[in-house]
Amino acid sequence: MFDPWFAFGLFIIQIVIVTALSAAVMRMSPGVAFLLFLLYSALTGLTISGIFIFYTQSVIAHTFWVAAGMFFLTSIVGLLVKRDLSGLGLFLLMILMGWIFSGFFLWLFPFSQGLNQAYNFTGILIFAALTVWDTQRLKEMAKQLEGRQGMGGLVVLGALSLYLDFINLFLLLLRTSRRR
Amino acid sequence: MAKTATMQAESEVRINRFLALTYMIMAFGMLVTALVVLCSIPGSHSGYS
Repeated sequence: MFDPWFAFGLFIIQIVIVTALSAAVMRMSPGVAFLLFLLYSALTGLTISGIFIFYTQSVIAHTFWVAAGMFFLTSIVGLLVKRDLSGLGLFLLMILMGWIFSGFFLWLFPFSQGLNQAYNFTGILIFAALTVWDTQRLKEMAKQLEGRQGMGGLVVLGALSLYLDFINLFLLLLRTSRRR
Repeated sequence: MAKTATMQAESEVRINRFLALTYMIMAFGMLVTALVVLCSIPGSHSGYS
């Protein structure tokens, strides 16, 4: 079985890497930022590999393709939509914080399966909206910063935000699926 | 006029290149994650059980 302390240690290292990447990406060389991102991806793989205990391989594969399709569509919306979504960022951040807090509350005081499912579906909507917003933000960032230094780091940071959106979409969709 | 159009086209190319690179790096990350997950499947030689 997965040692909970090992998983907790991995989680802390992941938080450190994301914080370091977000804070110092402009000062890092793009190569270092890319390697840190790959390290983060590998650690995420280790952390989420426990899903095979709870879900069958076919459920995981099916959910992956649903998440990929959803991510693709929301990303396309973000690229094509003309309306300025920059004001949506703070709103989404506040909703995300409230959602994380309510998740902690649900974990401490589990009410019902129905409420848990409602929590999961709300999360899916939040991360779908975040994907649209992140994609448009990246497009705008590329317009404003073109040709300037630090573009390489920004590419990695952008990839990290999209990666996080996808992983969260996938895990939340998986939580709505049938367990073993 | 033609110069403005050329500059605009170049700018579009740069933006598209930025976005393509971003998605490519994200895909690399996904690949690394998938490889680690697949190596950790219970029953695989390097996985936990």
